[in-house]
Amino acid sequence: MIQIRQARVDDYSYIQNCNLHNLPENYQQKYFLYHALSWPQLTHVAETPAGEIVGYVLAKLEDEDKAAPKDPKATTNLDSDSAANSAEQDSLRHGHITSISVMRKYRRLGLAKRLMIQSQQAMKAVYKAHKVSLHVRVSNKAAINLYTKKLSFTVDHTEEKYYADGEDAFAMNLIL
Amino acid sequence: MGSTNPLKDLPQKSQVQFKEALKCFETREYKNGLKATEFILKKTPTHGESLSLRGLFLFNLGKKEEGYASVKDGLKQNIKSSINKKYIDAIRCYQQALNIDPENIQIYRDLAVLQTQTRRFSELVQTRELLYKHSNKDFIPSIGLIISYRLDGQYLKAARCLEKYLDSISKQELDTNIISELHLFKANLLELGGKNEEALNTLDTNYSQICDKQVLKNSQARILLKLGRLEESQQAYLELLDLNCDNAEYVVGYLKSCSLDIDMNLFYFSKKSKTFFAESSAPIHSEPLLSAIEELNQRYPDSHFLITLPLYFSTGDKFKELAQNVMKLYFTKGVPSLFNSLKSLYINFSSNFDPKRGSILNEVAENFSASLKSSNRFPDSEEEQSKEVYIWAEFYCVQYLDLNGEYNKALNRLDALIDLDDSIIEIQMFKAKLYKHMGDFSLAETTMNKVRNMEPNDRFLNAKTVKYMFRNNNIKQAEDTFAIFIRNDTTDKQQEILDLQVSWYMLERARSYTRKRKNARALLCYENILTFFNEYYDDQLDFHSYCMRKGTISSYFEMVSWGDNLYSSNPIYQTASSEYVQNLCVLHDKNMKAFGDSLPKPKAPAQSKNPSAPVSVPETDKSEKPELLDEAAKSTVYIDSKNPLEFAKPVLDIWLKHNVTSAAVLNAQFEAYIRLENSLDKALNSLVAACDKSITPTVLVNYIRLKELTKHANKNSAVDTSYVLAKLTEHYSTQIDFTKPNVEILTQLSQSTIGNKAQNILAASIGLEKIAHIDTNNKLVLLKKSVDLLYNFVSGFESSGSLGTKDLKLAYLLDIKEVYSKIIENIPKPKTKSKNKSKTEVTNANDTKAQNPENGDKSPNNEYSCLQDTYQEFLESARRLYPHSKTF
Ligand SMILES: CC(C)(COP(=O)(O)OP(=O)(O)OC[C@H]1O[C@@H](n2cnc3c(N)ncnc32)[C@H](O)[C@@H]1OP(=O)(O)O)[C@@H](O)C(=O)NCCC(=O)NCCS
Repeated sequence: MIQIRQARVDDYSYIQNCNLHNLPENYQQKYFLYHALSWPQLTHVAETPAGEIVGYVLAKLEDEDKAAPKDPKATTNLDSDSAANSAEQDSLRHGHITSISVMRKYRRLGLAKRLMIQSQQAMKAVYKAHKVSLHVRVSNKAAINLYTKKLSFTVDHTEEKYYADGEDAFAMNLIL
Repeated sequence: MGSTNPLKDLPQKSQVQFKEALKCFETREYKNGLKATEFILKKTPTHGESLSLRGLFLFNLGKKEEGYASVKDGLKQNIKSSINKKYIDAIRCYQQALNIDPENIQIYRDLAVLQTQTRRFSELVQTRELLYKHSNKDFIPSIGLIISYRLDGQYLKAARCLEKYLDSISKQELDTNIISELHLFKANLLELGGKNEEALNTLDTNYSQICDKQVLKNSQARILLKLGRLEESQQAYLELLDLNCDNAEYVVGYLKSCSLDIDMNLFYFSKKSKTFFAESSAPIHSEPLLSAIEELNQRYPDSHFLITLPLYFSTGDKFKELAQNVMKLYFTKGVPSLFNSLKSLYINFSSNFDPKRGSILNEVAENFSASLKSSNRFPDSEEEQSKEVYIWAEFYCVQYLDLNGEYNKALNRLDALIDLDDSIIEIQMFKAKLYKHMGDFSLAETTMNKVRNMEPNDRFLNAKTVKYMFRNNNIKQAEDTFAIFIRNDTTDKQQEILDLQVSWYMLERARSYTRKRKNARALLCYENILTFFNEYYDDQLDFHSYCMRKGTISSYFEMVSWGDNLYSSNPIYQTASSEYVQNLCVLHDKNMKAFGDSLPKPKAPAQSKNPSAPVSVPETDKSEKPELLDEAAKSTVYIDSKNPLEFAKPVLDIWLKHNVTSAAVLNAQFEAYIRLENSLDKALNSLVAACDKSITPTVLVNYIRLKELTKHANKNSAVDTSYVLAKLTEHYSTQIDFTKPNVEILTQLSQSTIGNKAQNILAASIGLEKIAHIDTNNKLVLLKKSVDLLYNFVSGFESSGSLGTKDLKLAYLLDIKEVYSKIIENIPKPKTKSKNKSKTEVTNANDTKAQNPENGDKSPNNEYSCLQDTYQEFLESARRLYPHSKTF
């Protein structure tokens, strides 16, 4: 009996703990707080009746003009896109999944999918984001299946050596 | 010392520089300001105002610690300052700066932040009012003022102020998300102020301007429910459920709006609070609730939450039927976490607890498992199931057997499952867990490590393995394994672990060191965790102004209350801080022993025998990497300390200031205060607090210790324990006669049927051992009694036939071993080389005694040696009870 709900500020130290257990990409508490206090509606947790946080999605909002310079390839894409699609010019913000994970025993229950859907809903409803983006290791079959099969993300491009250990990432998008 | 003219002690040139520095502060030119103050201080190094001002500049340039230090130095020059209160010191400093320069707006702004950080809300209101008065009344000063009213509890004043502000602005001025937040904020303020109707109106009239429709709906639904407008509330909750049908709050709200009697704490319990329900329970069976949940479930067939919820509101046959449905569904789906999800049905956390629910679950699972095994079908079903379905049913059975302490049965059945399919990670992992519960930490570790290698890229398996390695005190191995997932591109992995605030890792590591009796190394690990939490607390600082600019107001208030409860509500902090202090107490006791113990024993041999003795060389594992040597060197701070309890003082301060009162904390607090000089009154306070929380055998033992200490203390520090006595007398009523001598009180405790029996006995013997050190005249009697209690307890378990491992948990045996070893350690070495290992040899020894009148029955050596014997017999019993454990 696991519930899905928006994260409260007092959940973030447990989110940090969950993140440290499941993924090699970790952050300081302050970075989690930064999410909580900037876009509180975008981060969601899965909680057991015993009050344990067993899954989370941590997400933020990006201004496209600010985010773009990091990745020159994306800038060119954006330019050509915005020329073709005027709707995109209006909404300068898009959602980005910073991190998502579910504790091992609670996987394959549909929790990640539910968490993603809540976050995506909020991106669109609260911030009028027109799309959501994320990065995923090219070897992470479980996550890639989740994004592409269950949530209809598509691969935008591959970013070489995106991860600290040298692995490539797929940059994925979903139009909301 | 009031500084009427801060410049009077300065040379002319410096006076000019000082004025310049102040101007820089106003204009936020911190670097130039810093230069100016440093110029002054070169000539006049003790100029308090300049030191403080320099601190402010450093503080603002991000060098917080250095800044505080300078501020502190400045304060020391001028006023008597309490140490270790950096924010409060900084506030004083700002106030002092205002004495010099009362018009400096920037100082007021910074002051407001610090007043928020230290929760001085009434002062904050004054500062904000002043800032508002001197401002152009735009967004930041207005919202700052309103927030300060809200923090100070003046909800309606804040609401009126906000209303005025909202009327005064044109909507284009602000970001739409901020406008939205402001309307929600206003409604929230009105609700807090009890103006529910008005709050509802605000939400309705500003509907289109509020972006966060989910929060909006939730507020509406909640307020409508409060106002008894049930139909509207119900409608709102349904809309919320359409958005998220797995949300407990929405489900409960909906059911309440159907006039059903339901509450979150009937099915939800927070591990964080860990409270168990003591009174007799009245399990709920409610047909109306069940049918309402069923109806919801049909509307939202996707909801996980709704599928298991009915289990909490049914009993008997209906419960059985529902349990069958749930199990069928999840066994077929293959859900390894099912047992965990249902575990709260086995735990008495609320009045809704029914022990029969657990037995029914077990019965259903057994029944399914047997049927699936023999016919690949559920009972009364034609449909053929795959082998996996049987595996999950059987796995459920294994898990409940483990919960019951029936480890051997569980292990046999688990092994059979693994023979059937050895590829399922969850099942293999459980084998490691079983070994751990059986006390074989080494086999648990190897088993888990094998699982890890099945999927080396999964960090979760890595983390679990690391925990098992630490449990097996394999520290080096654990560290190396953990390091696999620490980024390679960092220069110092050790530092990276600290930067990432990996509390769980530090805690497991600390406990490993504690078990190995490397208390100093353990202390360093605990200290890291305490630092993480101080960092968390400090993290708030920047957000006080950030949230105002960003307009994320409701989350901001969440953050403030998170900060308020950070230390008091986090179980990791409570555990780490109390174990930190307990370790300091151990070091303290060692020091005391080194300075002379009342026990008649030769000092030197005991030291060399005891691995934890305060040796002068820092402890180093030969196997450790050079970077870790650093830590070993650092730990000498603790080893060399003459007075280790000094380190406890900041923690004791935080506990008091932040009202941290878990049982473990109160106990550690008590231990620290009875060791600190002139602190018996504080020890009494901890005991009273513990007593008011709940009466436990530990409270009783600590009461006796405090009473004894008071007897031996001088008049000034004696304390009055009568309040605790009254409480204890009430609790144990006729079972314990508190007028009797200590030995008897504790003997009665060990026989008491109030509370958990095993814990009573354990506490009684621990108590006897502890009091033996204070009440030295009766030392031997007390120790003997202590040992007898433990021995009878364990052997009683063995002889009673039914091996109740469930009641005699491994943890108790480990604790018992601790007590024993403490007693044995303190036994004076016999002068003759007697090898009295077995009973027969003891009798022989007695015989020799008879021949040797000098060495009569009262001889401490022989008396103590019979303690040795009972210890050996205890170990044998323990080995028989836990044959897998290597500890005995
Ligand atoms: C990726 C992860 C978050 C998925 O969580 P989850 O709660 O198990 O996912 P869901 O149950 O919602 O799965 C939804 C779908 O994803 C796919 N999926 C999930 N796990 C999968 C696996 N191990 N193999 C193949 N597909 C998988 C399936 O299509 C699944 O639908 P299905 O169960 O109906 O077949 C989880 O495996 C995890 O925490 N992994 C470690 C951390 C991580 O890799 N995070 C992603 C970083 S980008």
